[in-house]
Amino acid sequence: MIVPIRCFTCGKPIGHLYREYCERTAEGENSKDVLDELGLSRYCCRRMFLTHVDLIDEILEFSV
Amino acid sequence: MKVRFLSDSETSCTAVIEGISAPFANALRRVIMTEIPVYAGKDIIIYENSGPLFDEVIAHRIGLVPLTTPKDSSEDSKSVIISVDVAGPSMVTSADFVSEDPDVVPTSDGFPIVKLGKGQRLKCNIEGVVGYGKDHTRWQPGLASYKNYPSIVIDTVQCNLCGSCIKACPRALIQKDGDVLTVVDAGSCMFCRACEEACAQSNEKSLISVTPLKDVFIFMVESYGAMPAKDLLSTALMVIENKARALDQNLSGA
Repeated sequence: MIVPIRCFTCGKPIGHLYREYCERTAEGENSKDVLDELGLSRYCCRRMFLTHVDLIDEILEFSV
Repeated sequence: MKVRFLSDSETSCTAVIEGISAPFANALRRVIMTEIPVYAGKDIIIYENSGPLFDEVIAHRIGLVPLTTPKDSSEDSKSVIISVDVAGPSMVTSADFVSEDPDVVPTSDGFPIVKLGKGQRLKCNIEGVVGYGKDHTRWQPGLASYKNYPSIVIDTVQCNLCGSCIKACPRALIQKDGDVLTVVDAGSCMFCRACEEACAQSNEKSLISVTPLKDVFIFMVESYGAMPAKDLLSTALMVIENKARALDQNLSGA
C-alpha cells in the first residue's frame, strides 16, 4: 500500500528514507549499498524496503 | 566503574561499561526502551478525509511519526496541538505538520502520511501527548542492547603458531604479530568459539580460551530522534533513580 512509518519488528522510523531509497535504486545503485548508507543495519529494517510493494497510486482514484 | 565510549553521535552511541552487573545492564536497557517520557500523537481529530486511506490507517500512521521532546518533559507536560490541512493532488508528509510548540515537531520532514489525488483533502488536528514505550511503540524513543565483553586468552608459551585459529575466526580478530598471536578489536567477538575448536583439533587441547567477562558490557544505544542517544542513557538513569527514591519514601512511611 504505502510505505510503513516504522519497522514492524524493532520500531525504527524508516518511512522518511523510502523516497531516497527508490530514487537511488532506480538510478541503478545496488540496494545493499543504499540500505547500508541509509543506516538500515538490521535485517528487520532492510526487509521493510526490499519487500515493499507501493500500491498507493493504484487506489488514488478512490475516496473513502 | 569505568565508561569508555567507542562511538558517540546524535543517533547512536556505543560504550564499554566496566563494573556493572547483568541485572543492572538489563534494567537500563529496558528503561531506555519502555519508560522514557517522550511526545507522540495520541488523539487525532479528523475534520475531513477524502483521500484513499481510512481514518484509522491515517491516525495510526500519524501516531507513529516520532516527535522531538524537550529534555525536562514528564507525564505532567502539557499536550501539544499539531494541525494538518492539505489539499490534493500531493503527498501529505510530516513537513505539513504545523505545531503550536516549536520544541515538539516531527524529527524528519519526510515521513509520508498519505497520497492525495485531485480534489481530495486531509484536515485534522493531532494531540501530542507524553507517554511511555511500554504502552505503545509510538512512544518508544530508541533501542538499547548489550553484550558481555570477551576475554580472549592465548597460551603463548605452548602455542606453536600453527595458524588454525587465524583461519577459523570468521571476523579475523586473531593476527600473527611477529612470533606471538594477538587479538585485535576484541569487542567484535561473537563468542562462536571457532578458534577454540580449531586449536583443539590441531593441538591436543585448546590453547585459546574465550570467556565472557561477567562485569564488563558493551552497551549500544540507538535513538529514534526524540533526543540524542547519550541523553537517553542519562534520562533512563534518572528514571531508575526516581523509582528507587519513591520506593524508599514509601518504605520509611510504612
